[in-house]
Amino acid sequence: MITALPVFLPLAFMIFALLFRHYHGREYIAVAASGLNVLLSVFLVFKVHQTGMISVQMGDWPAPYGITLIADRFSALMVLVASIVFMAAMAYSVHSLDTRRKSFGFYMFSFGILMGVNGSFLAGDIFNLYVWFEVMLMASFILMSHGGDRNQLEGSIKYLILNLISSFLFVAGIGLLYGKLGTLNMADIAQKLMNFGTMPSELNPAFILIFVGFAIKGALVPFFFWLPASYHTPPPVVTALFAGLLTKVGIYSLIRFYTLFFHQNAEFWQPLVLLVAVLSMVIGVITATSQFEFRKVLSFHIISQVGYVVMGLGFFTVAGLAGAIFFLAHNMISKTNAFLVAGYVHKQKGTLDLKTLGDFYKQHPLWAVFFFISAFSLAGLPPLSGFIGKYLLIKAGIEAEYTIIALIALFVGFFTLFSMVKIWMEVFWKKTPENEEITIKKEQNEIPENVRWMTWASGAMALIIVLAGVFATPVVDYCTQAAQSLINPEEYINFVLKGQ
Amino acid sequence: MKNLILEKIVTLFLYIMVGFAFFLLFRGHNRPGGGFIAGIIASAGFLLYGIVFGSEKVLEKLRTNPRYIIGSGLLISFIATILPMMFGNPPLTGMWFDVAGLYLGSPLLFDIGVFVLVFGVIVSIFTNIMDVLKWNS
Amino acid sequence: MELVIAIFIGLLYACGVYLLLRRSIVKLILGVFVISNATNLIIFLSGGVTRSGVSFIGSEAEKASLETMTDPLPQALILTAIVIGLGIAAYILALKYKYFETTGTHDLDQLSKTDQK
Repeated sequence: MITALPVFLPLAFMIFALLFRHYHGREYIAVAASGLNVLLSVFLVFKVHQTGMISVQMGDWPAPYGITLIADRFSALMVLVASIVFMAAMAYSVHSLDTRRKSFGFYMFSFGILMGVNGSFLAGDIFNLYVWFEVMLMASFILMSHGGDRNQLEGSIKYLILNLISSFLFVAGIGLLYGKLGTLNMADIAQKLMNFGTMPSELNPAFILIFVGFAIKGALVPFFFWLPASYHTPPPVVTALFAGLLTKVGIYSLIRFYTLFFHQNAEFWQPLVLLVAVLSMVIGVITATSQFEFRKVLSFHIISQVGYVVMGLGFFTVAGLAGAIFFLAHNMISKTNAFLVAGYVHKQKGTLDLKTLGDFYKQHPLWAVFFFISAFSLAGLPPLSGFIGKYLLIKAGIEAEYTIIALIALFVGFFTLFSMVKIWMEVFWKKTPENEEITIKKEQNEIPENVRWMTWASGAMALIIVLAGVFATPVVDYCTQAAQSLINPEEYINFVLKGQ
Repeated sequence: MKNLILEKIVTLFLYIMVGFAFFLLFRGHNRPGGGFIAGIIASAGFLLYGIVFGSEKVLEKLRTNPRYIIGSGLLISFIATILPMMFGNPPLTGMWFDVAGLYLGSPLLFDIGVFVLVFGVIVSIFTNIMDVLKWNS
Repeated sequence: MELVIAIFIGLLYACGVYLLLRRSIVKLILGVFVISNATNLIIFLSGGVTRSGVSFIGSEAEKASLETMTDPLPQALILTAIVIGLGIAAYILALKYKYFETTGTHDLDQLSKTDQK
């Protein structure tokens, strides 16, 4: 029963927001609802940790026929991290977003994103997964263009077209798969594939289409172009939300599909996935170093860090998958927090151009600390959470005898450090250039002057990053257990099909 | 442009379409039909009405903002979804009651919600497009 | 029959991709719609095409036999996909209108403000 609640709670909030339009204090209700969602997902994680997996069959139809919602350890962790990211974004938006955007349904569509994301994490049926993707994408299209600045409209046209194409590829793959196998339940498909022994070659077109769909959604090389062209255009809190949630859903689905289906044809998929991972890491980080806009640098780093997760998936050992899961969770939190700091800089200075900024450490030391924590967690400095993630991944790579790939990952880490240091030097450390007069744009004065909620949101995220790094052992143990159940899909299949 | 015959016919047509939509909605309980198609047909009636009279008249006829129609449709479907959870069944489980010889169930409630939702969404889409394009005003 | 529909889907994809590669944003949007419909047809085809088979089990008199019965699931899936397509069509046209109002151009080459320098 609890499995379905992370989907229903955002829906209830959306209905509330639709029916009660002229209501004051909607931001506080949104924060309260997202807090409730965090509590729900904590409960879900506890419940899953006790029993291993819980599922619910929609409409009480038995498994291969009805729609399954299933939470195993991996998806429960993802739901928890997504709800934390979402709550931070909601709290942050109280003092960072203008009242015009707030009153035109920002909160309603944000909860639409949350509903889609939670649904995709919990879906146990591929067409249902597509529907949740669309729920998430529709809400994100609207948030991307919400407000209607020229840049935003341009960014959202690019974002919209490429994401729609990825959806079409995905759903075409589902159609072909259904035509061949006659089922849509993920466990049932995996069961049928196992019964085949070797993967029949008729299924390859469907899986290739699905893989490309996920790769576009997850912004892997060579399908990443929509991301840096659109992520820096909407208001900072929207970017933070997108960076924390959207691409990660594509990667989550890739991991789920790889462990259930693709790995049964490992000699074809494993080199492909590793190649895509290495290219994403290297190309993402190299293009990031050449950028001179705060949010663009961070956007390119999304591509690079998604590559790390896919690399851990490509190793396909328990350690590699555990590292990938840990890194995915860490990246959602750290990346969101880095974007939240970018939003604060934007609010104070009115620009995010690295060349014209400076002196931020002297003026706002607390926020410099927040940036330091999240950025150097992304770069992988101990004792922050990113260090644990990268350590697990590289160790798993060396153990799985992919030494060269592990070395590449290590070098990519240096480049990440380089561009984080670049942001640190340019924004926080150097003196403001003399001749560059920074003017805060006047149209933004609808934004509240207060920054208290922003500080709380970002501070809480920074605290989580530090705690996840210092007390990493229980989290890593949890991730290892999640990886064990991912690497043996029989458990998942039996649970869904036989209820055991 | 004012055209008396067209206006009368369209008004008549509106009532026929809405009546037919209700017929399809209740037919969908055990036969082909259902909430989605009924919503489409009802909103097609209003679309014709809007083409002739303009979007303000459609909103006048509805007496409310389409937003509230969408919201209440979602609410009805949502109630039908979570109602079985109160009785310990998984969400969306059909619950059947014998009401005075009629065999009714929560799927009917869900379908009514879908009808209201689809109707609201399509009316909202075309009134907005008509407003933007300044159709007939 | 399947072969004819398959060729038709291929043609639709070709038209869609051709339209996607045009410079005008309106044609780009039309291309998206065409590809969306081609995708719906793929799902339709995945259930197989059977002649005069209904896809539900009615009362005793009009009961569909299991041999000629059409798979009902692809039809439900298509309905979902079409509804999603409807929502996206409404949104994308509104977005195009707003973009045209703000910039006054239909040209994709003008969409270069957010690109990498």
